Amino acid sequence: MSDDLERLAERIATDLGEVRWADGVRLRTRARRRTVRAVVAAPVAVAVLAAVVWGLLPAPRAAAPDNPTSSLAPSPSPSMSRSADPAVTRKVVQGDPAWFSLVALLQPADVGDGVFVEEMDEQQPQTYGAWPFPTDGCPAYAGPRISTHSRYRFMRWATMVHTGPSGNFIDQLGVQTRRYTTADAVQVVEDTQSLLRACARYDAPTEASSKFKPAHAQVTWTILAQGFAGDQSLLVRMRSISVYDDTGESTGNDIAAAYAIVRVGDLVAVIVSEQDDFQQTLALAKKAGARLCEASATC
Amino acid sequence: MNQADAFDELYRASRQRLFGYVYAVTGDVAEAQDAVQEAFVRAWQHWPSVRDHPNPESWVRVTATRIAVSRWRRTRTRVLAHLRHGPPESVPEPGTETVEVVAALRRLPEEQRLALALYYLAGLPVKEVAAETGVPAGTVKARLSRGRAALARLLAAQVEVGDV
Repeated sequence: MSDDLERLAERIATDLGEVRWADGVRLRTRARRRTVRAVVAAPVAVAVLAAVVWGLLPAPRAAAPDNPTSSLAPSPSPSMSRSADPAVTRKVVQGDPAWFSLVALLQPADVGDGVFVEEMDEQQPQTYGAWPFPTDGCPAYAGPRISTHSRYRFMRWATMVHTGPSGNFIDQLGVQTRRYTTADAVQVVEDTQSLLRACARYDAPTEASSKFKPAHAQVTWTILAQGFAGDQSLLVRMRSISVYDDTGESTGNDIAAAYAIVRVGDLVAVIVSEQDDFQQTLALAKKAGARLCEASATC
Repeated sequence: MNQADAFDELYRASRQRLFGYVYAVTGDVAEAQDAVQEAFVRAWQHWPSVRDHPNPESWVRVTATRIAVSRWRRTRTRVLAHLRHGPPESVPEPGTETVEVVAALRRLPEEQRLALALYYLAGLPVKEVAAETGVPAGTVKARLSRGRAALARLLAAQVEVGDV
């Protein structure tokens, strides 16, 4: 028995030796952003600092713990970098019609007390191709590829957490706001609705499965509400229940999440909550719609 | 060596080892990597404390464990990771034997799983396992003993099923 465990360390080192890691600079940048946002959230308001952080003013060349020339400006996510289409080489910056400020993104104050931003970034066009809804195991998704969602003109995202009783950070939710052409924005919501209906129920692989105890996940997507905010909106429940193939017994890996998508004009917001609280997600989606309105030329 | 370099060195030297340990605890490759990287982000936020800790790697390991365990206790999904990063890039898949042992580990009570992972994968002596888990050394030994026995039964049952 001890042999199995003693060999496990070697096997893990061999099997998982090729994993890619973010570099130290990226981790330190994430840490710095959280610290700055904690300062901004403090009652001692510094309006100028807040304006810098929220991208409304140019960032000064502020000293940082590890790099005296680092700025406060967010950097694009290297893990999602892709070769840019030669037709889209211009970087979207403030002043560009596609750009929007953080005001278009749901804020910690919208969510509740004690919530703060864990991570935040902006994405230039064609640097983030992921579909926000993890339907990659759905057979219907493998057919006609939905690609409109990747044609955003500019994007911001954030994850928010709050501190739990034992001092750990507990994930609260993730938010995204994307700008498209108006036609593409309409299409994105329609594609979401079509795909989630096509993927209402399917079986998918699960990490709970093993050679001697195979298992699978029963995944369901349910549209709970629509048309409650903005020009278009959906509230969605995702459930994934992993069961052993032979007995149907749960493996204990059940998951549930609430999603909402809201469109106002050419702006689309997506909210993802692990809290399985659909009333809260609905309320947040309405607030997200209000923020899109604030940032939109059409409201 | 400046602070950033010291951090980078700790990160490079220990991340793979921590990753293996957290993977053994959670059985989820992507979650394990996310937990380790998140622990290092928090380590930088608290760098003076980490730098001056008698064992900085231990500080990061305890943090990664808390992140991983709290997530897995809540049957954490990958949904937020998916939102942040998109579908996981093709990560290396563990071999069958590795998956079998880790799957069996996951079926053990949490305290036995952590004790076995700290002892065998993080390579800590009993005394340090006791310090990290906040229990007496005798309790650690009992958890190791019960954990080994339970794991042996689970793996033996798997072998019998495989023989049929």
